Amino acid sequence: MAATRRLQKELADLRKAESKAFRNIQVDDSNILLWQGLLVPDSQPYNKGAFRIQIDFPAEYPFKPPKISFRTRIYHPNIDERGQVCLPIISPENWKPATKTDQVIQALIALVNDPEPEHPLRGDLAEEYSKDKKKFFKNAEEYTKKYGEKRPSD
Amino acid sequence: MFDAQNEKIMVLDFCHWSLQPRISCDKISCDNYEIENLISSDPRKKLKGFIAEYFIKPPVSITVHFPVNIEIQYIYVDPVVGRQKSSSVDIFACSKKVKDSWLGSAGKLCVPDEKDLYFYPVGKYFSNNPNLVCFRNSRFHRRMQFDMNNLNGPISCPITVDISHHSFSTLGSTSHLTVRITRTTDASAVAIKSLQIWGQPANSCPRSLQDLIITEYASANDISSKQFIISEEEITCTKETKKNTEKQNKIMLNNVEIPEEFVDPITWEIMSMPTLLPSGKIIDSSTLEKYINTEASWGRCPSDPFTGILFDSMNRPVPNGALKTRIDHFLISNSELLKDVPRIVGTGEDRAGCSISASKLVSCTSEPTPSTSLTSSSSSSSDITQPGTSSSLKKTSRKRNRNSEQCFKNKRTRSEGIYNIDARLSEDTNTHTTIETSGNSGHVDLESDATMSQSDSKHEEKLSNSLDSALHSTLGSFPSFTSFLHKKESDTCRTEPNQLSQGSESMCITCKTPFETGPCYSFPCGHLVCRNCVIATSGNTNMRCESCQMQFSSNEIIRVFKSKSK
Repeated sequence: MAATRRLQKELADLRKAESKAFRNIQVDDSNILLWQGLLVPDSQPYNKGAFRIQIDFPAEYPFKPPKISFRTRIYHPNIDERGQVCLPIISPENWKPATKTDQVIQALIALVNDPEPEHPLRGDLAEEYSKDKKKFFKNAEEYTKKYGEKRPSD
Repeated sequence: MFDAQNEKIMVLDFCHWSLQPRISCDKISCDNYEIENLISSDPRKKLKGFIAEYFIKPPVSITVHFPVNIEIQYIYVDPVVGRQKSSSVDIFACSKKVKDSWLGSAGKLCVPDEKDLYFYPVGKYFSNNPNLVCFRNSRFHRRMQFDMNNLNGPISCPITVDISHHSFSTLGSTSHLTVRITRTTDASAVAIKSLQIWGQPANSCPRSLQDLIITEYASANDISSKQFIISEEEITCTKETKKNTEKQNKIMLNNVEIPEEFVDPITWEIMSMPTLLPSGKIIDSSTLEKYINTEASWGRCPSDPFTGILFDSMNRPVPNGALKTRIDHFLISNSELLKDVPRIVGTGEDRAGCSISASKLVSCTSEPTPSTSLTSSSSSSSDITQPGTSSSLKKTSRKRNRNSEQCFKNKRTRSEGIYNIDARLSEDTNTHTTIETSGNSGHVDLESDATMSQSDSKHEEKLSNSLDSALHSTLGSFPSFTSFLHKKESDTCRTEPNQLSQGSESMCITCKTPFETGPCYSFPCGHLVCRNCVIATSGNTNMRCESCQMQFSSNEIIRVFKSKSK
């Protein structure tokens, strides 16, 4: 499979980089196309928890973009209830095969830390975010504490 | 190796870091090969030397600014760094009174006075095979004697060039020295491995400074000689650790380390046909093709996968043949362990599919390959006199297909074949020609290539299929040296000559002896004979097949190899 060698390399690089924001990368030996990892944002209001995400690589990777979805519920204008994310860097029409998974994750972390209410997946949250930030932050923090994963200690 | 006349050291190297020379270069240097390496206190850097950026063309001027005026005795220039060789070196000197020396004034920054610098040419060295060169000032008078045992003096050098200038002060009281590289060998980058300028402080130099220079130099050499040992250990240490870390990064495939440059940065596979992109990255042509196809599915023009800049006549991918050669060499030298890596264009999967069909081979080669002409000569007589171009071969095969009931065994058919091809050749290839051939060969439709490619693809498919099967069956009797040309016996080629003679295949048609041992030969009509019979009849200019009475000349007989399994 064309994707294997590239993914092996990217996985090794990511594991070596030991990023604080994206860790515990789990990959099934039988299926290197499916990654799971823990996203640890460091800005309000998501810094109270961690979020499990799943990266789904197509067999045509790197010629087709991966898909990212949240396995942990998150109160975020750009992430819907089913965990789907709208990330321009991995949209099929913008995808460049030279883009590395590391860059995709960086983009995701940036999006989580800094919501974009202009392109929402959940209009209600976007409205709340732009109109009443305080309320949004309070709700998001509660939500994070309720559903979020435990943050790694270090 | 010390100069015999220098039992005691009488000159100092003013390029030594302890004497704080200042060095500058008018061009940019390659990473890690900065000009400062030449005067560095770090032996690692000093060993590396200086290399100008690869796109810099000579002349490149390197100027050393001394803290005091000096009298020069020797200048050593080693113009070779690895494969980079500077072949022509010019030396210019400038004597300007150094007013306030920065030596001894630690921390105090002196702005060098760069005004009114007049450089005079003093020496020149040129060699097609450059090596360490020593420029010698024959007017040098030594005034000082240092009694220091631990100092290294100037080494002896086989190549010596005299430097001189009519004015004594130019070399006797030098403040600046410029080494200008004016030429390099074989498009190499401008490079200087080491630069040593041996001399003594000029007479005009204050006594206090002279003493300071000597003590500084001596103590630094004392320390540095010890330091050098330590740092050499360090070097080995760092090298080891570097190796270790590198090993973790190394791309391993079947226990072979693959250099990263051989690997496509997008798919991370060994490249089979490296292509250089306008962005400077090198990717495999198959990757680029896939990328262009994906882009085309979005209605976008081909572009660089890394920058997204569209290709045009100036910015376009070019095959990197040099890298391809290196990759192939690497693969061949590791062929035991890297058997499954494709060496020629195409991926491993393609090869696993194992069907390079003969028709593809024919249609993509503009000129007949030896194998196809061999095939045609052995399979059908009609092509023999006409070296088959791809189209003629196709046509013959089609013809053969149409005339599936007919065997090519008599002379008449043969002459027809020639006629057909002659006719086709004489016709304008762009016109649709139909030729009625006499006899029972029926209606042979000869179309030009252009028409054919425009016409239904089904037809073309049929065409190439028939050609494939014909070639397979013919080549089937040959030993296969390639994995993908395995014979595939198909029943569509009943009419093949060697299939025809299947009954008599195991024996010579002339003397009826079975081919147990010894070579066998095939007449153009496809009948097989043994060597003895060929020799017996080869004296005649016109030979005739015993079985079908076909006439041919002796050079049309070919040797065939029979497979044992039959």
